[in-house]
Amino acid sequence: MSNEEFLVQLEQLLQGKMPFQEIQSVMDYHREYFAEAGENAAAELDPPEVIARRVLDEYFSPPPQRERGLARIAIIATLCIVLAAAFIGVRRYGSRFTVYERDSYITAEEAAAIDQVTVIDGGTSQWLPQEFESIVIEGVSDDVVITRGADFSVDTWCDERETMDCVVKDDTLYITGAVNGLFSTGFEGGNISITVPEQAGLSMIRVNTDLGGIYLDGINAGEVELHTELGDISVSSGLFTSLDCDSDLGDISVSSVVADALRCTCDYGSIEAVEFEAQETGLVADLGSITAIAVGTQSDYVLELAVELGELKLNGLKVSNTYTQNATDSTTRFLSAKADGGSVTLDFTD
Amino acid sequence: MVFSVASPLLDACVLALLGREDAYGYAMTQALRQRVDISESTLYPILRRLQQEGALKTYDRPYQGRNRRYYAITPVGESMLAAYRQEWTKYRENVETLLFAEKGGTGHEQ
Repeated sequence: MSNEEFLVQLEQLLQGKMPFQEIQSVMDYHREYFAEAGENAAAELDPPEVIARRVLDEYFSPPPQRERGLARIAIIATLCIVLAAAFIGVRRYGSRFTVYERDSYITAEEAAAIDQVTVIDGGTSQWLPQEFESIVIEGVSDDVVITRGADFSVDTWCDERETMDCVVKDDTLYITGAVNGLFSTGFEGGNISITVPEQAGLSMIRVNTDLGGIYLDGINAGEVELHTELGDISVSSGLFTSLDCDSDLGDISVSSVVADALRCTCDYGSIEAVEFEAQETGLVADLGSITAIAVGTQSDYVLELAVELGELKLNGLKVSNTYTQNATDSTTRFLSAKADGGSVTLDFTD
Repeated sequence: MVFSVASPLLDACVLALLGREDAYGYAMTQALRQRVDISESTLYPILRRLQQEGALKTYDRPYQGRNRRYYAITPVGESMLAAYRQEWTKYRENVETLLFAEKGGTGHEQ
C-alpha cells in the first residue's frame, strides 16, 4: 500500500467516528510521518484498520488515573461483553464471556456476531449491531454522538461506576445505563458513539442523558427528542419530521436543519439556530439568549417574539420587547422565540 | 526482539526521550525502534494521550516548505517520568531476582 492510499483509507475509517478537528490532527501527524520516512513507509506500518482502531480506542478511553494507572500495569481488564441472546434467563452471564484488553481490537466479523453488549464497571466496547431504524438511549451519563458512517456501529466508553446495556430489539437500538453512586467525586462520564450508514433512514431517536452532550451530524430521522441535564446539544445538517431539543444547563446549537417542527428549550444556556427551515419553530430560553437565522424572508413567517429583560433585535434593528407579525397570504411558516433573561436576535437568509 | 513493550512502559520511554531533547514524531519513532520493539504501530495515540494529560506540549517549526511538529516535555511530564523511573527500578529488581535466582535459592536474595 502506498503512503497516499494509506492516508485515504485511514481518513475514511475515522470519518464520522470522531470530531473533524481530531481527524485532521491524526492526518497531519501521519502526513508528516510519511514525509519524513519516505516512500513505502506505509508498507511497514500496521494496516490502516489497526491504526484507526488504536486512534479511536485512545480517543474514547478515559484519561488514566495516574497513580492507580501505574499500579494497574498488570491488571488490564477493562470490559466484559456478555453474549446473552440465546441464553437469557438460563445462563445469563455464563454463556460466553469476553474480556477485552485495553489496546485490543476485534474484527468486524467478531463484532457483528454479538447480539447484545453489556458493559459492566466501565471500559470500552466496540459493536457492529444488526440494522436498526430507531434509537432509544435512557439513563446514561455520557456524551452521545450520532453520525454517518460505513456501518451501523456502536462504540462506548464509560466510567467504572456506570453499567450499560446495548441491544437491538424490534428494529430499535436500546442503550440503557445506570450509575452507582451517581456524581460522586471523580465521576468521569463517558461516550456513546453511534454511526448509521448514509442510505439508512431512522424513524425515531430519543436520547436522555444526565450529564453529557448530545451531538448529531448528517442524520435524517422522523421524530427526534433530545434531552440532557448538564450538557450541550448540537444538531447539524439533518432532515426531520420533528426535532425537539431540551437542555437544562447547557447550550443548544442547531444548523442547516430542515424539519416540519423544530423546538428548542434551554433553562440556563443559550440557543443558536442557524439556517433552519421549519414549518413551525419554537425557541424558548429562560436565562440565556437566542440567536436565530431563519431560511427565507421575514414575510414568509408568522412571528411571535418576546423578551423580558434582554433586547429584541429583528434584522439587525432593535425593536420593543414584544413583536408580532400576523398571518397574511404570503406567510407559510410560524416562528416563536421567547427569552426571559437574555436577548433574542432574529435574522433571515434572504 | 523477544520482549514487546506495553503501553505504560512506552509512555515512560517517550517521556524519557523528550526529557533529553524536544523531538518530532518520526525521529522519536526511529529512536525508540533502535532500543525496543514497538512493532509497526505509530506513536500518535500515545502522544495524544500524554498531551491530554498535560505531560507534553507541541510547537511547529517550518522545515523544507512544510511543518514539523515538535513535542516537548512539561513539568507534569517530568514528574511522571520520575515516578515511572522509580516504578521501573523496583519492577526490574523483582524480575531480575526471579530470572537469575540460583538453583536451590529462595529467590529472595539480592
